[in-house]
Amino acid sequence: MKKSKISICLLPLVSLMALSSCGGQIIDPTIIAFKKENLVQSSFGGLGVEWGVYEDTDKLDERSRERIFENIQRLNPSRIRCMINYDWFVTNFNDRGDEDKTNDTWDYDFTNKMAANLDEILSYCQSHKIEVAFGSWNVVGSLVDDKWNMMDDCTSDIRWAKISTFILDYLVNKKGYTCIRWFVNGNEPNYLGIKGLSKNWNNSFAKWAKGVENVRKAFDDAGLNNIQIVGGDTTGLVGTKEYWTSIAKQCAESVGDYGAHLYLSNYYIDEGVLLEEIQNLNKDIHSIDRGYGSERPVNIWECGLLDGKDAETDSNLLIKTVTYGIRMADFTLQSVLGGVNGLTYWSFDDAMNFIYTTNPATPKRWGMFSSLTSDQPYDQEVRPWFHSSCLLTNLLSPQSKVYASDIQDEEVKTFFRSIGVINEANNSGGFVAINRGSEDITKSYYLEQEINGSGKLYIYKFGEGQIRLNDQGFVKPNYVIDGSLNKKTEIKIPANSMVIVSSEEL
Amino acid sequence: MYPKSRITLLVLALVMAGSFSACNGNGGGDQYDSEGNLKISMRNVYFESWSGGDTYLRDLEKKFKVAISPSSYSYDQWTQLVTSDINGNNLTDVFHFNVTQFNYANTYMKWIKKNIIKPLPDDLSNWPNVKSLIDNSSYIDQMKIDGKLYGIPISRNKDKTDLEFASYTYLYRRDWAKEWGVYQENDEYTWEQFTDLLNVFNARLYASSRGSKFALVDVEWGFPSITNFYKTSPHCFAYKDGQYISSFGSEEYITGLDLSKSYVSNNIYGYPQYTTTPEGGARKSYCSNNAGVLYENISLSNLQAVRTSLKTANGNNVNFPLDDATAIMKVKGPDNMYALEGAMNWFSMTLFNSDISDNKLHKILDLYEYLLSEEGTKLAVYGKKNYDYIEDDEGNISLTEDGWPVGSDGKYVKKVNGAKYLRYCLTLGNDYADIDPLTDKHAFSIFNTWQEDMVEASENNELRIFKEEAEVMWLSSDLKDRYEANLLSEATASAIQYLYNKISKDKYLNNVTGGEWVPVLEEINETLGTSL
Repeated sequence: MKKSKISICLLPLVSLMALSSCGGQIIDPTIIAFKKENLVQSSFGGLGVEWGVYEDTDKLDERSRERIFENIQRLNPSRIRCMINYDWFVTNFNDRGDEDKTNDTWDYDFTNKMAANLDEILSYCQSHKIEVAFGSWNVVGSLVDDKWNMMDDCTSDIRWAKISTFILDYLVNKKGYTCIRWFVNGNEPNYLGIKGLSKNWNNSFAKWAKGVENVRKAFDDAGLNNIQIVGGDTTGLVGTKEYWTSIAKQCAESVGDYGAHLYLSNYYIDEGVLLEEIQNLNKDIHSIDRGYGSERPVNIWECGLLDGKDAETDSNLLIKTVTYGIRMADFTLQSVLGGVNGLTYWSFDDAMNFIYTTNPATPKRWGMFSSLTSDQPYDQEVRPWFHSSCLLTNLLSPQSKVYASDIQDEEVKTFFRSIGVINEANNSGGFVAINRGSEDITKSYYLEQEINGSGKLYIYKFGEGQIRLNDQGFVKPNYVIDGSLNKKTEIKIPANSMVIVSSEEL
Repeated sequence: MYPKSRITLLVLALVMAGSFSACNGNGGGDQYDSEGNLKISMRNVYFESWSGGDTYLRDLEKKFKVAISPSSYSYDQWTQLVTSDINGNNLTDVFHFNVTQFNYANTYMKWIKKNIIKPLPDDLSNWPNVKSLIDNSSYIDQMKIDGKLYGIPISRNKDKTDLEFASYTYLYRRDWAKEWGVYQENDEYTWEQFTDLLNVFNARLYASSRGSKFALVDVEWGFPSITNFYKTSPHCFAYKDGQYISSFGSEEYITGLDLSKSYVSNNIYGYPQYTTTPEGGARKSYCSNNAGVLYENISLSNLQAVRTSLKTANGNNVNFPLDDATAIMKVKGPDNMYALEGAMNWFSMTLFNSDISDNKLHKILDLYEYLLSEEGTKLAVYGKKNYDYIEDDEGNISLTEDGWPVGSDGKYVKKVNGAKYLRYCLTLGNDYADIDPLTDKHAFSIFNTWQEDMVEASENNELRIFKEEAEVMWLSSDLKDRYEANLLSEATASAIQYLYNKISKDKYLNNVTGGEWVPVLEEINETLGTSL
């Protein structure tokens, strides 16, 4: 029997008490209670991953495809972000020799391998009820010998709304991919890049907002009313705040959420700073837009860790470490505690995106595995953070309720995070506890809200040397015991690890 | 950390109404973000793809109440991008440009005249670190116009400001030299020994590989490096017999050029330099085991890069003799002296948009002052105290696991550290190379040893540093300003054409002494009072 004790018992109150910030009530710091009054999310949106159209499916073989679908099935995301390049699908551009963009013509071609791959992905999502945020990375045109001339106006160019509407109409109304729920009005509009190397170099909030206005109208006219436009899709905390402030002031009604990309230093995660930053952002934006966080939920559409980033290859050198998984789990918990309604992780598969400044092109190694046929097994195999993500995506299902606890233990606040989760049907749930400290921590947990669980508790440990895998190479419980989430369960969380207790197998 | 007020989808806690503060400080055009931080935009070629957002930048922003928006240039397009920003009135508050004696008049001086760049305060006593950096920059008086300095020269190494030579020299395959019996102890070669080595390498490489391996390759801008052992000036103007003449037309240069031509003919220079190859091809050739000697800017970062590339090209084989494959060669020329090009102790400048207020400039200088301090340097190099590193009472630094994870190659993984990036506005980072966890310590030791050897050689009068006289280097006169850059590029092109038999010697000489050379040299000699 392992040293980490899991028992169902009533623990005596210890003499060490901590005061909560709510009215001076004495709280036992050894008991983590997820009470109804500590609800932080009444209808969580869900967790997902960036699963975009593969830039070159010729690099994949049959076994690649098998692995892709095995892994996505295991991950079971409730949402994905799927990005394309419009350039792949537009052809025969004719500007009529004048500067009038309204009379430009072009054709669409959905017969190439990118379109085929898009079909594969969206078909899977449709049949598995995975919601999709969809868009094009950039406007149409080439950085060299550009015929379209869309980079001046960016997404405010009138052709952007036209193309977007046509493609979304094709995918949603004609192909039946109603799983597409959000439209991304251009990736990271606040990251301008360098003229000549970036199509986005001349973008601005005003252009982005005009683009949103044009797209919203065109979508509504085309009957695409169910597709919401991502509010921002901006990168970085500072740039995001600027855009969100402007959105809140100027065009809140046109967007469906407040969306951001966050790539953060380890320090933000390790010291709990992320949660503080999100809370500050919440205060500021909600003061301008009352619909912030409710009608317009907060979503993180790309996330990852900055430390370890290799700028040349846009890869993360620490992607195969267990600690990356622990940090990403911590990232998730802090975000959820801060009211972020959904997160999608960057990214699913190394094989999706490449850096073309090297010869040959280099895959962006920031995924959960690699499906590239040419890769060695040590690159192909799923990485630890795939396992931690599987646990979280399966536990934090859409419409779950998420609870914080009111523990205010000053000694642990910077390195300890915990949530309680109950699914929509109130018949399953669990606890997630993350200990980033250097010492093991033992706490007792319980959920106040009654759930009609299975009578079993499945305990998962995620840390160095703790992960258990089944014959398929996927994460499995370390233990299964009889128990209930509503009864105090003592859990030891080893140093620098995550423990999940679930009433169902995840 | 749990929310003190509960935040749910239905009820979000409101503690305060965060309203945008549009306070305007004592700078009329200064803009502030909603937290009252002064917005500053900065662009620098060394920012790479850094876009901010890291915790180190945030620390600096909080400390100085600023909000920094960084952006970068690609090295290849640096000049065009700066020009485009200026012409498009799109200049960032702080920008970066490679000011040299060739473009000085048409950039730096022109920008001053057109009020595009802002001078530093006359009195820098509030920023002693910045002042010291500037005061120790070579040719700093030449950079001042009417007593004012319009930018910060970026120091190559602020702790070694006396170094007068560049590190443009030879890397070579010591392992092959040993194998083929032409190695000399301590990598020191007389001219004859160097020539022997090149001949042996040529026979072993070019001949046996049907022309795909080469004895000697030069980085594109440094070709032909053999002329270094003869010429007295690296660029256009040499001083001889009391007057300035075309360096490219000097007897010394021609001697070196003719020897280089023979090396082209006999395939020692077998690599097709400046013909069909792209930039970087020479280094690539060396790094893929296809060249025996490489002339390059052997800066520490380049040395590390070459070592990394060679290691990869050789399958990361632990038995590959990496040190032997990247040895720095010390070659004495026909005059029995080492020859190195003279260099300023700074490279490129941080410049300030004239539109920025004094308030903003002072704030930027405050930030720079801090980055040059001991505390700021530690933030840039190590990260956050008590998170990335621990310092004991004796000042010993130990790196933490959380702050400095190790990659699969056993080396520390690079951090995105905004403080480090911002410090590139002031120094190239060589001053902290010895303590930087990311420095290949072995490469550092090799580089440092070579540099110390050359300093000693200089002190013993064994090193000839060839450089342009300061009076002509920074001279701004009508014809020189107009034609110098063209003279240099056309002379270089003519030299290559001559080397590859595209033009005759007479034609070459005419190209490098006739035409605009005549009036330019007349003007120089007249202005400087040197006779013609």
